[in-house]
Amino acid sequence: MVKDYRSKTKIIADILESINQQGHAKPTKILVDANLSYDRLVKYLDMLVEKKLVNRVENSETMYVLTEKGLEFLMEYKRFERFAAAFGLRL
Amino acid sequence: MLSIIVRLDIIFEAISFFISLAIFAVALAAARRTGSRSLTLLALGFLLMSLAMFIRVALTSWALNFPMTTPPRLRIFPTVVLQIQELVYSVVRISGYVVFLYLYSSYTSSKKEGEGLFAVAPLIIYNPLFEAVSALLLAFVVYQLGKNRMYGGSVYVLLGFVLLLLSHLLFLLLPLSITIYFLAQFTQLLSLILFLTAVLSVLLDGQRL
Repeated sequence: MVKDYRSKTKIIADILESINQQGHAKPTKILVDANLSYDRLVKYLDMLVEKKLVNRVENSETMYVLTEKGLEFLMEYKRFERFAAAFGLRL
Repeated sequence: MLSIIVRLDIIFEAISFFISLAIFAVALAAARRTGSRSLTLLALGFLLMSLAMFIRVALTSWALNFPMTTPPRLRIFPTVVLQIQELVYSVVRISGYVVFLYLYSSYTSSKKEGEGLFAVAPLIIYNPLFEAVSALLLAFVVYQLGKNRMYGGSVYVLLGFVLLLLSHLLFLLLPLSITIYFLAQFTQLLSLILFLTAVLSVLLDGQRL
């Protein structure tokens, strides 16, 4: 049977969606939206910064913003999500 | 007359092949980018359908164009190939439907019910009445898809599978009239056009879903 678990790509999309909705996102808010533990979120955010999908902004507190590449990834993911939904499937 | 029917069959099947192949390509691209197992199975289902259609188009075209100048002993060859083609076509196509059934039965709300539903599939795929088997498998797919509509699936896809089911039921009624054959082929083509419409709706304007 096809297991109903959240793939790595889905987790990344959830993180990017959270950042996209807020514009400048705090890790605590992303953590809640993406439903991740702090340790896992830090790992994912480091990876996303390294792959240039998000930028880390250091002011009085650490914030994350989506890059052009990150936005493109998110849009493409949403398109595939709609494709899957058209066939009655979830990603 | 028979030659015209077969040639029309090839045209319908060829168009269906390209549509099915296009859906397979999109599903595969989506599966590779997202790592989704469900989309991989969807791609596999359409790949098997495309393969079955390609086999039918290629071998039937070959048989139709078999030179009549060959020695009489060899003239039986196209008939034998067409008989084998019919068997391979049916088995490959039914395999595609089994993949769809496996995929959609995985989405059932009750896991036990889904497993039970899929368990009947292997028992019936070796039945010689391929159209009946196809219709039965597709009836399960339509049932599951109808139940899963709560996830917001496209009405085009649901209608596509309903028409595909209808086409196999029409093929079962073929002894009644030759007109049914065209109707069945047209219904099958229409079902694939609906699948393609669903895909294009997403690729061109996802909001319409």
